[in-house]
Amino acid sequence: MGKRMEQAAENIITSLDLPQDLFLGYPCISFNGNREVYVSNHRGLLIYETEMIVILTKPFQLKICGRNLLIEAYSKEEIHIKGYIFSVEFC
Amino acid sequence: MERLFRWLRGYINVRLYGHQINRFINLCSRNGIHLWNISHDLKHIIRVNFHLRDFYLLKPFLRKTKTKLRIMSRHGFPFWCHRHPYLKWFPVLCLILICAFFYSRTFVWSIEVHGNDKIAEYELLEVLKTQQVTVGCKKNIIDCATLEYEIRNNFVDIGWVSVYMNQTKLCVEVRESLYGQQEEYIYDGKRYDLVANKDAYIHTFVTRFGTAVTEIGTHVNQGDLLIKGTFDIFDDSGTIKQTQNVRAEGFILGDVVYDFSFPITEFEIMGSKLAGNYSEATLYRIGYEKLKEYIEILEANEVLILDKRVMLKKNEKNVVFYGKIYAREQIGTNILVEEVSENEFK
Repeated sequence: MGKRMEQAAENIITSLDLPQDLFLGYPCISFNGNREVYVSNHRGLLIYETEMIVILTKPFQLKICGRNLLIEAYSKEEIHIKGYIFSVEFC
Repeated sequence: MERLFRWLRGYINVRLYGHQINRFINLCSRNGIHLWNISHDLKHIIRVNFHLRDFYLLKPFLRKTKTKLRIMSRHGFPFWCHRHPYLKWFPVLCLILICAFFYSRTFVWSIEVHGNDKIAEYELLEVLKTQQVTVGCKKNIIDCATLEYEIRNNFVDIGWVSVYMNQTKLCVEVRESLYGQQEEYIYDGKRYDLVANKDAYIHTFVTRFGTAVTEIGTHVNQGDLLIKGTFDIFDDSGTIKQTQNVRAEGFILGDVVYDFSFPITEFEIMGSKLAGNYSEATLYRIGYEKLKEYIEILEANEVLILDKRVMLKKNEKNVVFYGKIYAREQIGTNILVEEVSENEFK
């Protein structure tokens, strides 16, 4: 799908108030302070180290930097990460 | 709760070595294998937990990603059973016991009667028995209102009765009327006194009609006046203005001493002597069925049984009993008593 088509689809979905995570595959990211992060609607794990975790999602890659990072639970739907989170980047 | 389910299903903590561990983890999650507690040990080494059931599905992914696996520890109920094979049925037994406990709560295991003084307990229980309410009957057949009605119908002296269930206990509370059933009479306006028909020591004295002559703590003889059948009306100066005749009524209780004597004739007293042999055993019962009662065979004439109910909860009597049985050998002896006169006996 070209960039124009993507933009058109996004415009339609936004104007119809449809959930973007379902129709566009956007990830849902929720934080509990800087100690826990839940990422759902992901596409897989790219890099896992104690200081950095990179998660692949449909529109972008999610780079979580921190200290003592631990994947508490990993399933097809959701990743639950624990540790001291310093930053989150969308690459 | 999740931890409990994990423990029940069993899980394995493994160490993964290789250059494509991330790919291996992605493959697992894509194929519905749940992973948790993924931690980084060293570079290219990861520790992860799997369910026991999923562990057998890992082989193709390991081969595909050239990842090596080493089991570090095993946890959960399947491994626990493997370590303790004789305890395999323990949870099932616990479940059966819990079910039995809750099933036993659907029965009545005790009937208690409170507040009865003149009416014997067995009489009340007989009335309950006519309604098929006995110890060991089902709780759902008990209709407390019907039982109250039946008790009231059978005993005229009962002024108030309440029947209710307290867990596995059926409680019957009664209040007996103080004077019982009174005969109806037509008062003719004459004076009727209340006199003692026996020598007694008065300990309860309640006057209903008339003027009290005696009081609590006095000793009265037969024929003594207790309540005078008149009622004095005083004026403001304290003098008797009018005396009205009444039928004396009251509730008087007293201790009466009865003398009695009996002739002593020749008789035998069966005596007993304790011997040295002694035995003891533990008794277990469920309901009224004896499960175990074993005691060494002695030439025992008498067996003393002390059994005790297990009380798990206040106001709840259970069906499981335990206790101890003591037996001691006894040797019977005959003692001949000679005839004695009444004066000698005194």
